[in-house]
Formats: sequence, structure tokens, C-alpha cells
Amino acid sequence: MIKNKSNILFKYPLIAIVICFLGACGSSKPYTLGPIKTFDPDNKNIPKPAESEEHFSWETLYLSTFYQIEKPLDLGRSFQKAGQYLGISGRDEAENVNVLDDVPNSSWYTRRHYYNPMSIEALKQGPNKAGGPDTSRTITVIRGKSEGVTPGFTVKDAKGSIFVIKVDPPELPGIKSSSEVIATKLYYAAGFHTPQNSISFFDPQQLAVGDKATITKAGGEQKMTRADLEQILDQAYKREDGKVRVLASKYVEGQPLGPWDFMGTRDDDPNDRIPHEDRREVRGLRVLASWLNDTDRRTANTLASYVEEGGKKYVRHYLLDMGSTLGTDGTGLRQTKRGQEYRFDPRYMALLYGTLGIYVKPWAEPEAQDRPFYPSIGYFEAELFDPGNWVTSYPNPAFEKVTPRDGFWGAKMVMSFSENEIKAIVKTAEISNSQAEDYLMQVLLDRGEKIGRYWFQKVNPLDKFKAKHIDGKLILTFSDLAVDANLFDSSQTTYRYSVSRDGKRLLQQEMTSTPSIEVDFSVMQLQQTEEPAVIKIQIHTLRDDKVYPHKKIDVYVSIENRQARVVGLERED
Amino acid sequence: MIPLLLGVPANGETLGSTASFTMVLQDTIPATVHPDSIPYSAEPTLGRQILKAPATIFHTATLPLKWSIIFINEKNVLQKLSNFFLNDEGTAGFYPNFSVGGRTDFAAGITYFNRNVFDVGHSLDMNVFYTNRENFDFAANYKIPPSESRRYQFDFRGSLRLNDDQDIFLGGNSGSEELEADYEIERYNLQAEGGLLSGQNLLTSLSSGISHTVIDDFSRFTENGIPVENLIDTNGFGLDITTLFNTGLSATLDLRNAGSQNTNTNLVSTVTTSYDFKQTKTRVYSGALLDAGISYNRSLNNADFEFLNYFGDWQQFFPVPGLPIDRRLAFRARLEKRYPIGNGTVPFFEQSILGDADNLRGYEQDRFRNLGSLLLTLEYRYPIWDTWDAVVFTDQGQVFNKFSDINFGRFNGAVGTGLRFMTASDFLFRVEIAFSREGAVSLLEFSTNF
Repeated sequence: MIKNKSNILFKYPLIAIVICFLGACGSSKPYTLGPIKTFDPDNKNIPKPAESEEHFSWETLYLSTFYQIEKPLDLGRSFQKAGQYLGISGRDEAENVNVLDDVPNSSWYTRRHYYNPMSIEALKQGPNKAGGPDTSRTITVIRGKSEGVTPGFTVKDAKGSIFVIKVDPPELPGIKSSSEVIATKLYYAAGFHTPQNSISFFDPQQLAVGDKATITKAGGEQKMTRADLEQILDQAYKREDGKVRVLASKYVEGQPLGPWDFMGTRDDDPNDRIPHEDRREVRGLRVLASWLNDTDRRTANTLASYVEEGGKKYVRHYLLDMGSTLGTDGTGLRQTKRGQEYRFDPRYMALLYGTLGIYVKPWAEPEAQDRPFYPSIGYFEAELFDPGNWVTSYPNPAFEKVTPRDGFWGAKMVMSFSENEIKAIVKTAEISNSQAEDYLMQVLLDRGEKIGRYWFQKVNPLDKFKAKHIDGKLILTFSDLAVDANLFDSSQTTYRYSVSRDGKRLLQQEMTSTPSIEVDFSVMQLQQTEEPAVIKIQIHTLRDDKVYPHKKIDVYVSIENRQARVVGLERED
Repeated sequence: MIPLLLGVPANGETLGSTASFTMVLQDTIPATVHPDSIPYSAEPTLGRQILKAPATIFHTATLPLKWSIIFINEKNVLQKLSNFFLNDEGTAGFYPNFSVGGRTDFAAGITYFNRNVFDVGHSLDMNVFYTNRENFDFAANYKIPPSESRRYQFDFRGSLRLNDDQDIFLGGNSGSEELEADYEIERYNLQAEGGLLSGQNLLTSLSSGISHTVIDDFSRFTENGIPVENLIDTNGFGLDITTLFNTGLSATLDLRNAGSQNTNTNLVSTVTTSYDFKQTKTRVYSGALLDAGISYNRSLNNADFEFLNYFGDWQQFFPVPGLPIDRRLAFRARLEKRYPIGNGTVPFFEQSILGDADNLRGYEQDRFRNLGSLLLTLEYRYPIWDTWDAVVFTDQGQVFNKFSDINFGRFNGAVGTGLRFMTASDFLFRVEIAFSREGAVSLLEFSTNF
């Protein structure tokens, strides 16, 4: 009896664990016979959520320590990882992707340059609808900030527009404003919501301190004086004509609610249904951030804004403060370790401790530390940049969950910018030293290439599939993003494909040297039924006659009434 | 291309507009209920929620800390505390202090400091550490520091120390560790020192002082209450009341190169405004420090105690070839000797002692004592973070009666490892674990050994 009882006691938890384990490993049909989802309606009318605050001290402590302990304690997540290594479950993929492995539009993201290439003018304009502050008339300072890492102030121009003003340090002319403008425009073109950031030049004499202006000093709010303004301007870079170069960031639309988090959902926003760390665009943001070395991409540098549009009020999600990108950390030169390791990084501590310090971090080598730099660019380089190991200053829960498919999505955003397009955006940063500007361009291109080479070998980098029926043939066209980005030449590339239907192989090991596959309808043995036929085309990419990367992609094409449509994608990772 | 949709109206917005999301892209078709009208949702399954329970419990346990940190930040508690404990200039005030390990397991205290006494830059420190009525320390220190126009300094110290349960190994240095017994000490000390700073590297000091020591309850039983067999003769040990006068001369030559120079004069009790080479440099990577001194000691109430005390300390630092300079070796050799004069002897509490966080780690406190001691320490120090150093070390030490007793085979050895925590320019504390043939000892100390 006792033995039986112990068996039961043993059996039920085991069953429960198995059920839970299976629950952790889910699967779904890789295609749809219905429409493809292209929009997530998270813009439904909601009451105004409460304002939230950032708690920097806690956030950094929590993410660096406690959260790292919590992760393995989430047994579902641990089982999934174990199952992934054992080959019995997939990765913890993003929740908001459609059957084409892409991100629908939402309050977080709008498909832009990759999906529908923007003109050079549109890229240069970025989010800026009406330019910077009106500098032809008096500009009123309404608030000042003399403390903290970034001194600055807030102004209202003659048109009534309000801008947050940040100044460049005198010894590093333009470093911050140019970084912020470039990063803003690239993020915007990639599809994110950003503020309207632009470079302006103020004559200090045209700035007037408002009667009700206040300034934060010594931990308290005080009435702002002209002397306070002069003190801030003294810390600013000035052009030869005496004008102060500033970054003007226009207040975003709507009512600010404070930052959004890179983890979890907002309880008081019914539209917020996907944990932020499980959003493809938030995870994929890591790749863009790595390109721009945006190491300060954390909660504090985001904004949830309660906007009204089309009679509906909802929360829109912005990226803010791109001042810690490229070669600056927001105040001065970036340390060489930024982007390479976390500010508090137990991985490298353990590595150094275990190797008795014989291991030397490449970015701590003297040649990295003493590397020459342009004052207007700062420390921004491509040689040590490692796209797979790039990190923010503090662990970012969404970035930590990036899968190869998320990374591929981010990389295709990065690689969608041509050299001319990047150049046009960089030009808007008004970097006075042309050599520095050229250097910046080159580093962006080199980092971009590294990103492409890294992420485009994680999955088969074919995308933009289109199916059509012409003259009794199914024609499937696609883009090879690695060829489009000049990482490989089209002449060295071929594609091997097979065609199957309901598990039955109809064609196998066919080859094509162009990103286009033709399949005769007769091969597909289509029946005259009301149900559409779904054909699976499995493609491998070959570079110099060798499969590279060793990843297949399955494309599902629905054929109905002699109409063809791509209805699903499965990327092997 | 089928630009139609059901369920949501098409409005012809171009891609990229944030004005509306209600359009359907070209790769879709009509449907009765269009997926674009159905929001994504990611409700975790019951199984996932159950499996997440350990993480949830752990997360919940961290919440009080979260609330505390948020409260401290929002209410500006640290600033208020600073305002409460420090004067406006930050040159004087109080701060709490504590000690873990050492002669008592735990002691808490408070320190008052003033770096600008009488507005002339003199320095005053007073601190008290309290464990209980039988164990506490009080110390006061007044300093007149050197200045640009003045190359000399004066230092006046007074202290009171009360400790019960102090270690003595009655079986002698080669005896069993189990023969550890206890004594109680009450000690008053006054010391005055004048120093002359020659250049930036050489400090010569002349000191004089008096100490009054009362030893009580010298136990003839071990800590476990077992009578000590073959007890050594304790005549002349000083197990009574002793008043000692001392005067001495010392010189310190500092040729060390360091990663940073300590500039903190406030919230670290060990830092002083007068010159103390040992406290002014953090992350020393090359060079040497030489320290030597001699003092004369004589009992004022017992003619049996009269001796010279001399010491030499050599610290040498050098980077490891082929590695960055912050991977460095630190070597120390320290020799101490008490030399009885005439028929005089040395009280046991004034003998040279090994077995401490600052010398021979890995052994019980005060494990070895005799008229002389030789300590050799080799440490490999290397950074593992901005302000954290790891250390791997070995200590080798022996006590001796006369120099001819020094023998390679008599060294008592220990090995260990640890971490040292600093600020940008200041040493904070170290945690170490040391292993010897008598066991393992873990340490948390708020001062560096050298």
C-alpha cells in the first residue's frame, strides 16, 4: 500500500510536469487560408492611463541582478530552453508576428523604409513635420536644468511650439546633437515613433528667460534667472559667430504618461496585450541599437503618450533620447567598453577571475583605449563591434530574448538603408569636419555589414516573397537580402528548392540562379475542389555551390481559382 | 493585389503614416472577420503560470527592497541623511560605522570627523566601536597636517580598548590549536608623533607615548573548558597591570606608482589629511615602499619590562610581463623583533604576533607569538571590474625567539583568494578566504593589508 501511495505521489507531480512541459512547447499551423494580418488594432479608445515614473536605481539593480536570478526560476522558460537544446521544442519566439514572420502595424510600430522605400527627401526629413524652433524671433526659456548628466533647458518659440534643448560640450563640438539627429532619423525610417529632433543655432541674445521659468538646482525647484541660463550656455559649444549649437527636441504629441517598460504589459492599458519583451519590433530594436551603439536604450529613454486620433484616445509608444548613440555617451566621449559589456557584467567578472586576469578584454587593450578619434564623432568604431555580443549598458529584458528570427528582422531594417541614403541622413547632422563625417559614414557602413553578415547567416536571408500565376505556371519571386546588401554576389548564388503538397514531394532538388522559382501547374496535381491547395516550397541558398547558411526556408503558397498567394513562411533557425 | 478588406474600412492611407492603422497591405484577402480587427493577445497558459511560480515568489520577495529604494530616491533620503550627519561644507560630521570579524564578531559604532578644526585645516577624528560592555573601542586622533608651506605634521592619538575573550595559545607556537585559551584586556594608550616630509616620498617621524594595560582572567582552561596540560610558564608574561613608556623613530620611503591617488578626506575613517603613505594610493602597480623604525619601551611600574622594538617592512610591486599593468604582483617582507634589554622581558601582549587579517591569514587570531616574526606575502592582484580587484595570495610566516631560529622549514603557510572593493580613488573593503593546515578563515575587512 505504502509503495502504491508513493508511486501515486510520484506519478502525479510527474504528470503535471510533463503537462506543463508540453504546455511550454506549443506549435501552430505555419500558414493561413484567410487574410494576412497586417495591423494590430491596439488603438482602441481607452481611458487615460496613470502616469508612471522611471526608477533608475532600482531598474538597473533589478535587471543586473535579481532579474538574472528570476529567469532560470521561470521553469517554463527553462524547460523551453532545455527542450530547444534537445531539439524537442522551438525557441521562445515573438508573439506579434504574422504568418509571414513580420510585424503588423500598431501603436508601437509603423512599416516604413524596408517595406516601402522612402525617398531621400523623406529620409532626410524623418519625423520632422515643421522643422526646429523659430529662430527668427525671440525664444522664451520656460524651464532650465543645470544638474544631471545633460544640462539644458526648455523653450517656447514665437509659434508656441515647445522644445527641449540640449547643448553640446565645447570640447566635442556637435557630438551629441549630430548623434541624436542621425539616430532619430534612422529609427524613424525603420518604423519607430520618435520625437522631432533637429539641430538649431541660437544667438544667446535672442533667448529670454520667461517670467515663470523655473530651474532645478540643489535638488529643488527655483525661479530661473538670466545667470542660470548663462551658466548653462557656458557649458555649450558655440560657433565662431557666437551662436550656440543645440539639439532641439519637440514635445511629442499627446499627453506624456512616462516611460514604457521593456518587460511586461501596462495594467491600465487594455490595448497592451503582448508582454513588451515578446514584441518582435522591441526585440529587433536591439539590432538597430547595436548598429548605432545606442547603449542607453532603457526604460528611461522611452515615452508612452496618450494621443487622440480619429476620435479615439490610446497610448502610442515612442523612443526618446538618442543622445547616447554613435561615439558619445550623452555627455562626452563614450568609453570603449560601452556596447561590449554591461556596466555591471558578472560574465566578464567571472571570466577575468577564472582566468586570473590573463584574459584581456579586446576593448581594454591599450590600442583600443588610446585609439584616436574625431572630437565631433567620439569613440565609434567597427573593428571590435560584435553584433551577436553587443549589449546595452544594463540588461534589457527584450534584447536578451532576441532569437535569430528577431535578429534577422532587425538586420533587414538595418540593411534596408543604402550608402546614399545613410549619407543623406548623416548630412543632416551638419558635422563641420568632412573627414569626421566620412569616417562616421564608413563606420556605419562597416557596422551594418557586420550586422548583415552575422544575422543573415542565422536564418536563410530570403524575404519579400510574392506568388503569381502566369501562363499555367506558379511564379514565386523573392529578394535575397544578402545579395541586395552586396554581402554576396548574385553570380556566386544559386537556390535549391523542392516542392511538396500535403507531405508528398512533387519536385525535388531543382535549382535556379535567380531569385525566382517557376513551377508548372501540372506538376502540382491540383484538383477542382473548393478548398484551396497549399503548396510548400522549400528553399536552400547556395553560395559558391555550397549551402550557406545551413538553414532552409519553407514558403507556403495557396492556389485557389488559379490565383496564387503567399500564405506562410517558416524560417529554420 | 487585392486591396480589399472586411471588418475594418480602408481609408487609403499610405504606408508609414501614423495617422491611421486601418489599412490592409497587399498580401491579404477579404474575410468575414479580418484578422486586422482582432488584437494580438499573449495570455500565458495555466501550465506556464504554474511553472513561473518560483520566479514569481522570488520577484515578490524583492519588492520590499524595490519599495525601499524607490522611497529613498523619492524622499531624497540619502541627501537628507547627508545633511543631517554632515555640515554644509561636508568637512565635518558624523557617520555610522561597523566592523565584521576582527576581535569581535560584530561591532557597531559612530565616527565624528572634522577636517577643518578651528578653520585652520587641522583634523579631528573620534570613533567608538561597541559590541557589549566587555568589548568596545574608543579612539581619538588630532592631526596638524602638512601644507604647501609646511613640511611637518603632528599627530596625537588616544585610545581605550576593552576586550574579553582574546586568544592565546598556551601550548606554544608549535602546540595544538586546541590549546587555545582566553584572556581579557583593558588598555589605555596615548601617543604623540611629529613627522617631517622630505620631498614627496620620504616621511621621517619621531614618536613617543604611554600605554596602560590591565590583563585579567587569564584562563588555564581552553575555550572548551578543558584544563591545559603542560602549561607553559607564564611568569613574566605580564598577566597583571603594566604601564609602558615608548619612544621611537621611523622612516617611510614611498616609491610606488598607483592607478589613482586617494583624495577622499571625509567619509572614510582611515583616510587622514596628514601624510600617511599607506592610505594614499589605490591599485599600486609598480615601485616599492620601504618602512623601518625602532622604539624603546620601558615599564614604569615594573622594572622587568624593558625592550627595544624594531621592524623593517619592504613592499615591492611589479606588473606581470606580457599583461596590462593593472595585473600586478605585490610582494611584502616584514620583519619584527623585540629585543629585551638587560634582564628585562617583553609582556606577552607586546610580543610580535602572527595570525591576523593583516598578516598571516588562514589561522586563528593571534595564533603565533614570540619575540620576533617574519612574514612573507605574495599577492597577485588583478581587476575584474572598474573598481573591483581579485587577489590570489600566499602568506608564509614564522615567529622566533632569536634570528638563528629562523628556518625555512618553520614557516607556517596559507593560501587564499578574495575580492577588494574600491571607489574611483579609495579602498573600501575586502573579502577573503584563506586556507591553512589548521583550516579555513574568511575575512571581511575595511582596510587593506598592504
